[in-house]
Amino acid sequence: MKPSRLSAFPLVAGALCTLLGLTVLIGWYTRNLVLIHIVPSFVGMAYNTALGFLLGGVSLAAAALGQRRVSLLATLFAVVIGLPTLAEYFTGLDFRLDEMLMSAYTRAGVTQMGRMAFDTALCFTLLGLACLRLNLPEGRGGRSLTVGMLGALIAGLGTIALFGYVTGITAAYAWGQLTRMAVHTASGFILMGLGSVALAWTEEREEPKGETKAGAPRWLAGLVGIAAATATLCLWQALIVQEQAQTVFMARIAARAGVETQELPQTAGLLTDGSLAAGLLLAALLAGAVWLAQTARRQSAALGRARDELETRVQKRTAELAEANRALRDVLLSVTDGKLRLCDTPEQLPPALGPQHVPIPLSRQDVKTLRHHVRQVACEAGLGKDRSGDLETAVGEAGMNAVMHGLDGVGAVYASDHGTVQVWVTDQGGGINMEHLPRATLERGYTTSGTLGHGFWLMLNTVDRVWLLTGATGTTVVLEQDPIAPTPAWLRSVAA
Amino acid sequence: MDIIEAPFEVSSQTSAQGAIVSISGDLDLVTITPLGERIKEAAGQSAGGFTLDLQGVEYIDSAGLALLVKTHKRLETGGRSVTIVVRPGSQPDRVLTLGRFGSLLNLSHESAAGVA
Repeated sequence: MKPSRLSAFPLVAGALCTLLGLTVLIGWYTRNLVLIHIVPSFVGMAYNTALGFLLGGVSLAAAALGQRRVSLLATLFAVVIGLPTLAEYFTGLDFRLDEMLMSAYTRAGVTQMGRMAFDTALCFTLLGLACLRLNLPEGRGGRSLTVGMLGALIAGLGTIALFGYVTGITAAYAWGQLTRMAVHTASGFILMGLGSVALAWTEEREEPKGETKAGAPRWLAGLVGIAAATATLCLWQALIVQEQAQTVFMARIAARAGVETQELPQTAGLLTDGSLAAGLLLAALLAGAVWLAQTARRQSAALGRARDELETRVQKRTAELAEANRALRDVLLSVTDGKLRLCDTPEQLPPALGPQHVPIPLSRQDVKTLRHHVRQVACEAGLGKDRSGDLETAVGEAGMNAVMHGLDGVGAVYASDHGTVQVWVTDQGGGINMEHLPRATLERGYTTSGTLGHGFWLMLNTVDRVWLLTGATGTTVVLEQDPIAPTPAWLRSVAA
Repeated sequence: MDIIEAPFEVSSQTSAQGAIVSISGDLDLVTITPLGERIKEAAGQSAGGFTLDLQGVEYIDSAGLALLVKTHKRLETGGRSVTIVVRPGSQPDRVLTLGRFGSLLNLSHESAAGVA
């Protein structure tokens, strides 16, 4: 159900209950038995019950509209009429409340003149408590939990009574020999109970900041358990009554037949007690299953939130690092006279110059092989002895870094038509820590591995251009040497 | 171009007046370990000046530079003078000059004299 529909339901339920109470009250004042009984053979709705629905409906609707004070006033009647009537049933006293406002003139199904049914009084008491709790501050008791569960009890009692009318099991709406709950009373309590549950549900879903939470409330397991247990208890009570009736019936037959009652088989209690135990067990299992499902869902949601938060943090951190890298890249480029280009992605590396020579896997011994290969390519490309030697020096350092700090290093040599020689040295190691990178590339003698720390310094002082791409999956160094040393960037901008 | 690769070789002359260790080939990550041992051996068998003749060295990397610096520091601490002879225009000469190692090490372009 969408939140808007869910929040509208208590209002509609309250309005319908008010209308129900008003209609029956009109029936009482106009002596219209159809409005009081619906069907002549059914029990009628007591005057106090009709008044209770009128005010209870107003209370629920007012609570749904946020009119807490009106709701509280209207609720008082439900408590005032429900609780003493219950006391009358338990103590056998007569507080003369039943005909205080209207003299009862119809007795159909009513064991006590004008008195509402026991379960009706119970429902009004529960409704009163629910509305009272609803209008008290949140506190530690869990307002929505209390209201939701009381609402479920009310709806459960109403459902059982209505079930009795539908199936013809009188005992479901007539507890023992007490006054029976009327069919429209049962319907009204279903509405009222569900309205209270919906109200509590809506309140549970609304966060203090005005945001709406998705999913069922935390007390759904309790709600399901109580509803199932209520239904079980009601049916158990009905079974007992049914059994008593059968026992009386059999006793009469036995008396006619001249058989002693003690001689009759005593098996009836087993079925009812078994039904009660099975029903309560089922209710507990159902509640447990719902609780487990909810816990799993909450944990899944918490994990999802943690994942989202982590992703957000990673994205934020990545953006921060990219920004820091951009600044670092600019600084490195500037202080090396445009020689060292720090790359974030492989796309920022230069294009390969010409066809590739056979790549050389790097080991301690094969760094020398790569150097000699570079020397040969540089000679063929037309680089002079010094520039070729300088490139070899740089390649030796890049190759040694790949062997010492990387994994599965490979060297590859390219040459352009213009005589520029390009050497790629890649490895699959853990990369250079960004914290160390500025000092590792710029500071002569900086080392984290006990070496002389001259590798990058030598590279930057012997070749024309160096590209560096480093990360957790490896490092790529690209070295380029032109036949003639290029004019420094600062000199190119000076007018002739 | 065919590259003629000089093999890595070390020879040493030691006496009470000093020692000369002559090296040919490449001075890199692979060769520094055996060379380091030969230097220690020659230093232990001699006193006075100590000369590292790199005229036959075609290539030196930062690992080789590290060995030179460490040797220099160790022997100088022991009161011995260390001279490093390089061939002018060679890659070791270029790297040592580029790194201004002349201010730290006693570099020479002169051929080492024999040790009597």
